[in-house]
Amino acid sequence: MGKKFEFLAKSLFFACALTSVFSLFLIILYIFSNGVPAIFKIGVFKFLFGTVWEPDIMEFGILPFIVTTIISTIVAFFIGSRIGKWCAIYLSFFCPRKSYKIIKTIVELLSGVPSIIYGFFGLVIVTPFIRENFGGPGKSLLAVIIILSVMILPTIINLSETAIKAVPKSYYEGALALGCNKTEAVFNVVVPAARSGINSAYILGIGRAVGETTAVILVAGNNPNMPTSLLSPVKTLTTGIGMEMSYAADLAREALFSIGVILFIIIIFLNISLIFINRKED
Amino acid sequence: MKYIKGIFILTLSLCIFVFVGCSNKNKNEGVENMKIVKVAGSTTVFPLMQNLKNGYERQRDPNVRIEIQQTGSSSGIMSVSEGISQIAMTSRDLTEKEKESGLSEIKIALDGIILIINNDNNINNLTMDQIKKIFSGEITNWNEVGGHDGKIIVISRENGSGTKASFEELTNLKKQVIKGDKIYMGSLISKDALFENNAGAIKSDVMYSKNMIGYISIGNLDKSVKALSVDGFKCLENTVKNGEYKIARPFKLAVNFDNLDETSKDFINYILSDEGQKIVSKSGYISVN
Repeated sequence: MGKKFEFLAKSLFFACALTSVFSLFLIILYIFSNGVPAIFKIGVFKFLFGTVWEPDIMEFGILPFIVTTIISTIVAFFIGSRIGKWCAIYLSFFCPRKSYKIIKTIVELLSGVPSIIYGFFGLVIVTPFIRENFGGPGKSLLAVIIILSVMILPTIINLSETAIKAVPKSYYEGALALGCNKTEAVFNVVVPAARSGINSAYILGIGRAVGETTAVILVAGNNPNMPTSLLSPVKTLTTGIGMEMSYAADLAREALFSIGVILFIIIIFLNISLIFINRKED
Repeated sequence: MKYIKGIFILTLSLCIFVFVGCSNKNKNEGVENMKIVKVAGSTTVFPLMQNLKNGYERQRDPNVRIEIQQTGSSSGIMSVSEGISQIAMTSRDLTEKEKESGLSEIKIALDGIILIINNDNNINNLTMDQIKKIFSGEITNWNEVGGHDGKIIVISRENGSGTKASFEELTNLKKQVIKGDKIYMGSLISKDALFENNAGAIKSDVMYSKNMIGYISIGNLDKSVKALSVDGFKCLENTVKNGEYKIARPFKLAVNFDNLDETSKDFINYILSDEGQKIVSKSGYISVN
């Protein structure tokens, strides 16, 4: 009886594990079988390095989308990762117990806010602010960067904090015993020891920034041309798909799947690089 | 080896469970004799179709359930050619490829496309020529058309949108592009334009900025923005019908007559009847008869 139960439970869990693997394979199969042929129909070079996106005249160049995605992600990551990491450090070492609860709750709440709300915030507060103070249409690369920096904060804070807390207390105490002051102990001993966890926090944050669609559509302006300044309206890879999926037909539709392929490759690349970075540091 | 057998049994039972579930559902529908018409397509035509559905269910056959999905013209048309939906709503013309696959179009209403600006902008009228120049980026400041001093920001619908295609066609914002032995119709809309994928977003942009101009379907118009007249004519039933208001286009349904059921046919007849067309006018659009 016990053995049979054990076996049944084991197979149930295995089936569950299989489901997630299976769905990933289905997604890969579907996206690639729809998207890859179109890339070759358009021409790999023309698709990746073309700067004109005009489905009406069969021009499918996604370089502006790639550039926009990369710029907005890197800058948002630079801002968000600094604030996020230091916030996590503050939460784990410097924060008084009473305010800890409040700040922690707020950060957790922030991670639960639906992206459309971030987008709405951007639309009503950020874009008019940019329009009135810096000029341009307001919907711009800058607006995207601001929204993304805020959106990746909770991911980075929560995961970094967990990583920092997982470092054995003895590291910190040992550093203090050797004569470090608190700041030195935290920054030179504990944080480096939590490096691999913080790296995963970063990568997940970047993943979120690359993949965000709903909020970005509202503040980006969705202009498919190469951005010339921080104030130009832009289009990212995800919003490229999100904007046009409902109306596109024929090759234009397949080209959207091709963008999906590129996005997928970027995300896979990010995850693999995380594995390598962490392995190197171990 | 042991638990591979277990998985096999589990998967099998899951499959059976799912399939049994499906077949049961079908049976139930048969018993209740509920007739379903599936309509899918353009987000622009959707509000009108919603009203027509309510009218049909109230005035004709309450036993028919009309399910409407806003998927965009192209997805709607595709779902009809795949047999998933019976009727597609479209705000653009069918492509040659789609016509060849056996689809036909039915005109159900006329729609005026209106230029909208911020309520604080003092412009009231633009000529067709000015519209073309503004949207192609030739006129860049409001003072060139008699308004305040401010850089014009143009907002368009996204690529593939029926509203965008009709707008470009009606205001001559198309240019021929020859590539090899094929001729394509490209867009002349300014390289600095903003793009939005629904009328609501365009309205909210215009609502917040005095310098913006966009275009939406007349059915989406409300008090939050100001509608412009074109060449001196407001967009009204008679000005659209007699062609004085020039930026108007038909709303269409796309169907495959070869396998259209009676219920769907009846719904289409209702839309084209006097009762149906009354609903068209009441919803803010212009009737076709």
